[in-house]
Amino acid sequence: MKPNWSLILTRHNMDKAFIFAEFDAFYAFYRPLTPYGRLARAALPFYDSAETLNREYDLTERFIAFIKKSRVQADRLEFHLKNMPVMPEDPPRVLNAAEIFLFKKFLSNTKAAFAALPSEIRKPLAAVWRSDELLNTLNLGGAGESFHLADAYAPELKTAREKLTAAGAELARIREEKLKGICKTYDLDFTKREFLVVDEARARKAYGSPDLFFEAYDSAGVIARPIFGPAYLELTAVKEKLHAEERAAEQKVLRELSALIKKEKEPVAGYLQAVERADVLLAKARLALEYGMTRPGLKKFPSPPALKNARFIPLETRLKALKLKYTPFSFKFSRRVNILRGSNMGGKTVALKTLAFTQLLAQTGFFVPAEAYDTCVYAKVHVAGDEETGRAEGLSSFGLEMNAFVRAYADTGKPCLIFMDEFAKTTNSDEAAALLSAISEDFCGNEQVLAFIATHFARLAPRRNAAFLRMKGFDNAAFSAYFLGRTPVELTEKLKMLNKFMDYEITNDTGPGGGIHDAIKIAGILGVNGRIIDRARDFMAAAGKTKPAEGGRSE
Amino acid sequence: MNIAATLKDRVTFIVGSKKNAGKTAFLNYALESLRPGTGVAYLSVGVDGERSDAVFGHPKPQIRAQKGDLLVTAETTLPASEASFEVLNVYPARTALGRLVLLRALREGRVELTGPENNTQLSAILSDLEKHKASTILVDGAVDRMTQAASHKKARLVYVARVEPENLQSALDAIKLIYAASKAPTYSNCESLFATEGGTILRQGGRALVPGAVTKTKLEGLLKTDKELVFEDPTKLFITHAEWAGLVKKYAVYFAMKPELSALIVNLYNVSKDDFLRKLDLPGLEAKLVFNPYTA
Repeated sequence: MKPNWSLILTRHNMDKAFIFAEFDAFYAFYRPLTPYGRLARAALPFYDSAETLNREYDLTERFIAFIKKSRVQADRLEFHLKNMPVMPEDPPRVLNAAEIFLFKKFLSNTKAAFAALPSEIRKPLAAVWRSDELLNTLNLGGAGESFHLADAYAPELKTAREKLTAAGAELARIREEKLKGICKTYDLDFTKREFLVVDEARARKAYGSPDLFFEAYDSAGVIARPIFGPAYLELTAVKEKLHAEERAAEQKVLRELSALIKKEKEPVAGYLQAVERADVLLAKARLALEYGMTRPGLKKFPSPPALKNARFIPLETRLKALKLKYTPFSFKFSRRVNILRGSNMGGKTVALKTLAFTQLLAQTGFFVPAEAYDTCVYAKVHVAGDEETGRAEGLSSFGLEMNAFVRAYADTGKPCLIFMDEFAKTTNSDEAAALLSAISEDFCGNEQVLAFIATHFARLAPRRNAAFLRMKGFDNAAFSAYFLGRTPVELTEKLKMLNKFMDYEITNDTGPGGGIHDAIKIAGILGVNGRIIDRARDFMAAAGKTKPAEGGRSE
Repeated sequence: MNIAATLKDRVTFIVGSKKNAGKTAFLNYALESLRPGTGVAYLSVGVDGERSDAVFGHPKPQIRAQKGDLLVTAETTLPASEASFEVLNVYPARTALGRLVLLRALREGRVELTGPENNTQLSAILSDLEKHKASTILVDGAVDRMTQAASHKKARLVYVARVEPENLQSALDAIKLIYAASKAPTYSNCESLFATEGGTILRQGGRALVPGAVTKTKLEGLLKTDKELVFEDPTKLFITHAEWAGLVKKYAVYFAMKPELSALIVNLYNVSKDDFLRKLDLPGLEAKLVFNPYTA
């Protein structure tokens, strides 16, 4: 079942952060195997306790070690998890055979799953099997994955069934004998048929026969059915009575088995929890191994993050498909408020997304795709800006941004991580810069906030606790040496060129005020007409701005 | 026609022209023909085997399970059955009559069949039946709906028609259409395109891939440049035989997938066999025809 992503996210009031981080693209790879694991997945727990997270990481580490050390046992565990059925919810007092089958199937697979786990995992998961007595009783109803109300459960069941079998055999004998006689006398062969459609003229000869019953079919024919006689009818009535006895005996067995299962309620509740945890942790460990993920290091709040070769998996996957290079992200942040500037397409948004993605993974209990990631735990993670991820609801982009900011700001009384991507980009640059300066000033004074602000605005007021950073951006010299008037045609080729000469690393900025002027060149690479590019450069020069970088011109 | 040989080791959908066409009676006949045998499984789409017709109230043929049969029905129908069963699986999907269960009959007896309510559930159950070593699977289909036959790639089809003077023309038309469609070739490797392209006609050169229901209105959207038509499967045809005949004159028509037609079971009421065959007038079709198998 595909989870309702928007419904899941609404619960956390952090929907924009999860959407901004493209978390669902990664979450699609996270596939617990049991119905209980899938429910846990759908709940998307967000942990704000370092203790809880460290416990989750400890167990994930143990599962990773288990998979590496005992591949066969891990596969066995997976097999039994896959086999776990959906248990009856709020079972009625007396279970039916199908429900007892579900209990039996659950118990058999739980026992085998627990047996596959090493003791260092069984203990912390409280995966302790203690239902042999119940399982042995249920196994009387069939070995392996099957269940029936076997004769062994009650002597009266056995007696009723023996009588039923005898009655059935006698009925079959009478029936066979009768049909043979009918075939001989009337030339009507009922083999494989309960009735026959007979031509009316032919049937007329047998009208009034004590062996056949006729009813209308159509204007040319009648339906003939054999009459098996009084002995057959009497025995059928006896058989009905025996059926009633059998059903009563079955009900008694069902009541007894239901009572036994009810008595086992407490251990079963424990098994359900342990199975869910084993399932979730196995899925997390498998993901960690598949994507080269490592355990996040959780420091005391506030501790700006430090990343070593962190990978934003959704983008890495997309670039791989386009055969483009992906640059992992490394940086050790030192301030609470980080203002990040850089070229268009220089990776500011990706840097923010990588941070949000990595932090959300860490706080949902996953390992992270990085060689190392040190961070702290936040009560909330918010995103303001990037209104493509918002919903209209009658507000303009600016209105939506402010609304998202108000929502994030309301959470700044507790440890809060806020990402602002091109905030207020849709309003005039002077007011936007003023607004952003005021916000960063406020954040600098609030020790509960760690913020990452990506912006093009140059004139943001410097503050204590704020770091000015920039993406290294376009390598102009290398590009000019390579380009030599070549004009990329296809979008992929243009992206490849940008990808090749863009340095996606973060570096300390010289401070506020300095402009980054390669937007016009990038526009040129992306195919904006050369005359327009030239004129744009003229306007920049006339306005007394730094002469924009040359190159990237196309006709 | 040897019905047992036709059905053995295959998945066969029994579909009917209308309510009380004789599907369940044919299922019983088919099961008897296959016995004694192993790996026989059956299920229904909807409800079958109840004592009287839920819609019209008249008596219905009962389905008799024999020891060793595999069958699927709803858990709530079990206490009413004379047979005794072993539960082999319980499916998560719920129907109006509770969870669907896979059973093995331990003792013969009458049984009411209740089946999955959609093609996804049906497909999952068919896979599970195969896992339980069911090799001959019979699916008693819902009234006047063939779409369920598309839920299994290698399915075969038995079409049961109730033919009366009042519906003679429409019954003949339906039989001719089913037979004609069964003769159309398949066009391989384009099923995925139907899965991704939604409801619009997709064109590749002179080839038009027509997803979903094939209706007269949809066919009006064909272009003069279209030379080949690919439909999803014959269950999506909602046109007359005459319209089909017009199509195949003008275009090369293919199906992306197609259940093979095993037999056409014709139950005649107040219509003579000769009259029916004369009006059918389709050489080659006789080989697929089985007239009321209960006729003495």
